[in-house]
Amino acid sequence: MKVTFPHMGTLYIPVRAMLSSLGVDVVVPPPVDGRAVALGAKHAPELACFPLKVNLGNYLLARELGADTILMAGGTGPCRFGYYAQVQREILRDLGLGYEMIVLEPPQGHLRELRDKLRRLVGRRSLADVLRAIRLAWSMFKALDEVDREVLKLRCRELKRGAVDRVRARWLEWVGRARTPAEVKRARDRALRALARVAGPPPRGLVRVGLVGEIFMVLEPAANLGVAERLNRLGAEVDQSVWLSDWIRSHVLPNPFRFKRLDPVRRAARPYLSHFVGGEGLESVGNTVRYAQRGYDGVIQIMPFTCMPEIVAQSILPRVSADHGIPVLTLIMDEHSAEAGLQTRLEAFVDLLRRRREKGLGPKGGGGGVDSKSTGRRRR
Amino acid sequence: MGGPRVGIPRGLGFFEYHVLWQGFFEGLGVEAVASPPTNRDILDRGVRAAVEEACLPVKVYFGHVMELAPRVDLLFVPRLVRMERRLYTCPKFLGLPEMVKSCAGRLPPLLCPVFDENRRGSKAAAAFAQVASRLGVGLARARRAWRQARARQARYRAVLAQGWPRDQALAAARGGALPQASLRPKRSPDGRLKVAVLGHSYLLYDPHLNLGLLARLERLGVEPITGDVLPEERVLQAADSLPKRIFWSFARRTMGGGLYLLERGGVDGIIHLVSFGCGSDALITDLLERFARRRGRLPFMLLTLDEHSGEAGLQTRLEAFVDMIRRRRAERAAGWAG
Ligand code: SF4
Ligand code: SF4
Repeated sequence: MKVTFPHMGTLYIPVRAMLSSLGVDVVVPPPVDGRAVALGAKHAPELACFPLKVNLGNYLLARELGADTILMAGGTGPCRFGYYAQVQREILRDLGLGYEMIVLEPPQGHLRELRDKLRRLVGRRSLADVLRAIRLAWSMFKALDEVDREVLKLRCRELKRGAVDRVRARWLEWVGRARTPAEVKRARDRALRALARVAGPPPRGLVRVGLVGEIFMVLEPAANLGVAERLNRLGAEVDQSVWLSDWIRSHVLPNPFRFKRLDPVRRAARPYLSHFVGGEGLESVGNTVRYAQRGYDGVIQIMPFTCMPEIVAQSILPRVSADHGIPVLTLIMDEHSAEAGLQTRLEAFVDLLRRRREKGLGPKGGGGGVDSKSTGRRRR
Repeated sequence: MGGPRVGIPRGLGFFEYHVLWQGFFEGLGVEAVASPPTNRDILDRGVRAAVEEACLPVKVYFGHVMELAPRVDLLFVPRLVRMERRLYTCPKFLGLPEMVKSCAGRLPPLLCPVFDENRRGSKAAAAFAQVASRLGVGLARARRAWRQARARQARYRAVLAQGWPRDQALAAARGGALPQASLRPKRSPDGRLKVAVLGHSYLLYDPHLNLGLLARLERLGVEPITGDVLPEERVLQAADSLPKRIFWSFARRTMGGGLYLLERGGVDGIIHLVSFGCGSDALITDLLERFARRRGRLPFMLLTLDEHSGEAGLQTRLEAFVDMIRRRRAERAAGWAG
C-alpha cells in the first residue's frame, strides 16, 4: 500500500512524518503547479470548489509515482468539503484508476469506524506508537505555523532579497527530518533566530495587511498565486488569520476544540454575522473586524470561485469595511486566475492603503471601500 | 387592525414553508403579506443588489426583500439551518439574514427566527415564540398558533404527496375539503411522454426564474413529473444508498429522485434544474450525470439558470431534448417490432 494525500501548503510535512513513523509507505504528490491545476480542472466538475480540483490533480500526479491509496479528510457539512472525497472517488473511478480511499471523518457517533480506518492504514500498531506519531505531527503543525507567521512579517524587511525564503527552505528541511517534538522545537528556534538575522528595520511606507478567506486558498501559495509573498514584496507586512493547525482543529478534531478557540472571533463577527455558515465564512467576517480593531491598514479576502461560505462573507464585508473604515479587497480565484491581473490589483490596493496612511486616514480613519471583482475570471 | 404588517419574501424557503409561516402569523392575528411572484423588476433589483457570485435564488430573494421593504413594518427573513436532523440547507441560507442586511439597502427591522430541526422537539417553536413576543403576542397564543400552523403544514405536505396540485393542497390545508379522489388529475392516461424535473423548490416553482419550464414541457406534449411527487421514502432510501449520506436536504432529495428513477424507470427522461453558482449542485449534478451515464438508457439533461438565461435558448434545448426522447422511443418500438 502506497499512501498519498492532497497538498495544502506545508501540510505534507507533518502528515508525511506521522505516516512514515508508523511504517506507512508515503507518496507525497509533486508540489502544486500549473500541471496539477490543469489536470484537476480538466477532470473535475467545472463549478466545483477549486481546492477539490487541485486535490484531484495531486492524486493524478501521485498515481504516476505509484500511489494506490488516498488519505483524505471528510466532514458533515454545511460546506462542500465533507463531500469532496465522494466526488473525487467517482471521478477517479470513471477514469479507470483503482484508487483506494480512506476518508477520515469527525466521528459521527461510531468511534469504532474511525478505529477500523486507522487499522487499515497503519495495521496493528500500539496506541502508544500512534499517540507518539500524532504528537510529533502536532508539534510540527504548530511550529510550521509559528515560523510562517514570522516569514510573513519579516519578508518585507529582508536585507538581501530572497534571504528570508532561503531560511524558510532550510527550515522546511530541518523540520521534515525531525524525529521528536523536541527536535522540532530546536529546529524552530534555529529558524526563528536565522530569520531575525536576515531582517532589517521596517521599510518606509510599511502597511499592514490581514489575510482572511477559505483556508485552502489562504494556505496554498500555488493556488493563490503567492498573494502573501507578492504583498510582502510590495512592502506590506502580512498577517494570516487561518493556519494549518486551525484546519486540523476544525476538520479532524471534534467541534468543541474548534469553537473554543473561535470565541473571540465569533464575538467580533457577531454584529455582522451571528451564525456559523460552514468553512471559514464566520472567521472571515470576525477576523476582518479584529484586523480593523487591531489597526491593520487593510484586509484581503481570498476565496475560490463559487465558495459558498465565502460568498456569505463577501456579501457582508462591505458593511464591516464601511463601519470600521478598513478597505477590503476580495480575490476570487480559480484555475483561470492570471498573475498579471492579480499583481495589478495588489499594487493598487497597497497604494491605496499607503495613501490613506499619508492622509492620516489609516486604521479607523473612516470611509472604507471595497473592491471585489473576480480575478481574471469572467462568467460564461 | 392597526397592528404591524409583516412582509414575507417569496423566495428560498418560502416554497417549502409558506403554509407554516402564513398559518403562524394568521394564528397570531398579525397581518402578513407575501411579495408578489417574481417578475422582471424584482429579479433585476436583486441582481443589482447582490454580489455577482451569489446564486440566482439568493439574488432574487434580495429582490423580493426590496420589493416589500417600503410597504411593511417588519420583514420576515428566517434563518433556515436544518429542515431535518443532521441535514443542512446551505451556507447561504445560514447567513441569509445578514446577507440581506448588508446588501438590500434600507430595510425595516427584520424578524429572523432560527429554524433548526436538528433535534426532536426542535428549537424552532421557541424561536417562533420569540417572534410572537416581538409582535406583542403572548406565549399561550403563540404556542397555539405554532401548533396549528404545524398541523396545517403537515396536511399540506400529505395532500401534495397524494399527487394533488399545489393550489388544491393549499385549499385543503386551510381546512377545505378535497374533491373526490377520482377527480385528481390523472397521470398520462394517453401515453404522453413523462419527464422528471428535479431541482430545488425555489427554482421549480418560480416560473419567472425557470422561464416557465413546466408549462413549456406541457406545451411540448410532455408531462413534467416534479421530484416531490415521487414516493418520498423510496427516494430517500435511494439517496442513502450512496457510500456517504449527502448532508444537504435539497441535494439529497435531488440525488434520491435521480437514483430512484434511474433504478426504476417510469419516466422517459430526467431534467436537472440548477442555478449557476449553486455550490452543492455543482457536485451533485456531476455525480448524478456519472450515475446516469453508467446506467445508460435514461436521457439526462442539465438546465443551468442564471440571470442571463433566455427563453429562446431554453425552448431550443427543450425541443431538442424531447425530440431525442421521441426518436429513442420510436427506435425502441421499431426494435421490438422487428
Ligand atoms: S469552504 Fe468553499 S471552497 Fe472550501 S470546501 Fe467549502 S465551499 Fe468549497
Ligand atoms: S442551495 Fe444552491 S441554489 Fe440554493 S441557496 Fe444554496 S447555493 Fe444557492
